[in-house]
Amino acid sequence: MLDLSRVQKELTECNKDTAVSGVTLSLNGSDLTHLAGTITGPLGTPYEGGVFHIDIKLPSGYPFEPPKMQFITKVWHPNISSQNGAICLDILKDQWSPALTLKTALLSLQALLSAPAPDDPQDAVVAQQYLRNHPTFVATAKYWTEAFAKTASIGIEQKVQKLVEMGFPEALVRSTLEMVNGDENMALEQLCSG
Amino acid sequence: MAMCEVYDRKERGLRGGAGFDWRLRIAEHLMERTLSAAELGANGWAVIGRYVDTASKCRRLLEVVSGNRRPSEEKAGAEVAASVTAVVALPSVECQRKGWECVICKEEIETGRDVCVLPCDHGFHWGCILPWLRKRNTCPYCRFELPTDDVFFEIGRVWRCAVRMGMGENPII
Repeated sequence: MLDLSRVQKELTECNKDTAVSGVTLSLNGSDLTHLAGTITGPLGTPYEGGVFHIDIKLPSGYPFEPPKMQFITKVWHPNISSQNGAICLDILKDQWSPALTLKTALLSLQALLSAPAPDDPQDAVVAQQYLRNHPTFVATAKYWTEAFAKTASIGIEQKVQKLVEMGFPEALVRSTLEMVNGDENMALEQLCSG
Repeated sequence: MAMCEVYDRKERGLRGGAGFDWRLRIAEHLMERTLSAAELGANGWAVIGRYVDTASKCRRLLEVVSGNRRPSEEKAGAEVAASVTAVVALPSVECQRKGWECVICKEEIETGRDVCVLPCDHGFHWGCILPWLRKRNTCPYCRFELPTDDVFFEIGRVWRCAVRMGMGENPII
């Protein structure tokens, strides 16, 4: 049984000091089993300045089972799939403990961005590049951060205009953007998939 | 570990069939080995070293038997439930201080309520810790490992304890 009162508590707790922690947690609609998280890219890394959105699904066994987390924002990192955002992190798998929380898990993701573990990769291509051609890795990661993790800084009207110019009806563009929290790339994907 | 060594050396003796007293045999063996004249006055390592050695042999044997699955190096993460006996033996302590939070439900534990205290001294609501121990043998707070009923896992667990001991920690087995 999912412990709903714990989830409620975690939501309030996590959003107490978002400015300091750099992580936020919010509801995705009214369903307490489907949450949305964001983390800011750690300073001094290629992810600096980016805001990364994370999809969080709570299994019915939570907190005895780990939350299912996945990056929505595309990110170039050895332990995160560049295709679907799947994360390779022990505490989200066999090292989960019920003493951990969604906030600590998000903070661990932030730490993962600072300290990649290329020996235990999720994305073999990225890991290989990280090990063999580090400067290219840094450049690609920076480029991806610029391209995908900073779009939130563009105003919503600009995004609407951009998507309308691509030929989608304005009303649909607005509702889709709203659905994906203003993530331009996600919206485009949704619009294209119909 | 002592059992492994007894098994190593007195295999013939063990085929004695029904009525064979394991405990007596192990006790005799321990007396014979660790309290022998040669061992007295020797340092602690001389006594324990033998068992660490045996444990490592056990581990290697297990690796071969189980097709190179390395129990000691396997992350302590395989999902193995805590041994029922160990869970039943856990002490129930009355909470006497204020502001003690159960890290599983994130609620404060009311004073006067009975809590479950693990050997590592971390306490939880009984209702919170039991579902977890049915899944895993670790303390949610510090990952201290409780005994399990899985023989393969136990060899790995004892091995990890020995390694921690070797690093100067003082583990509770």
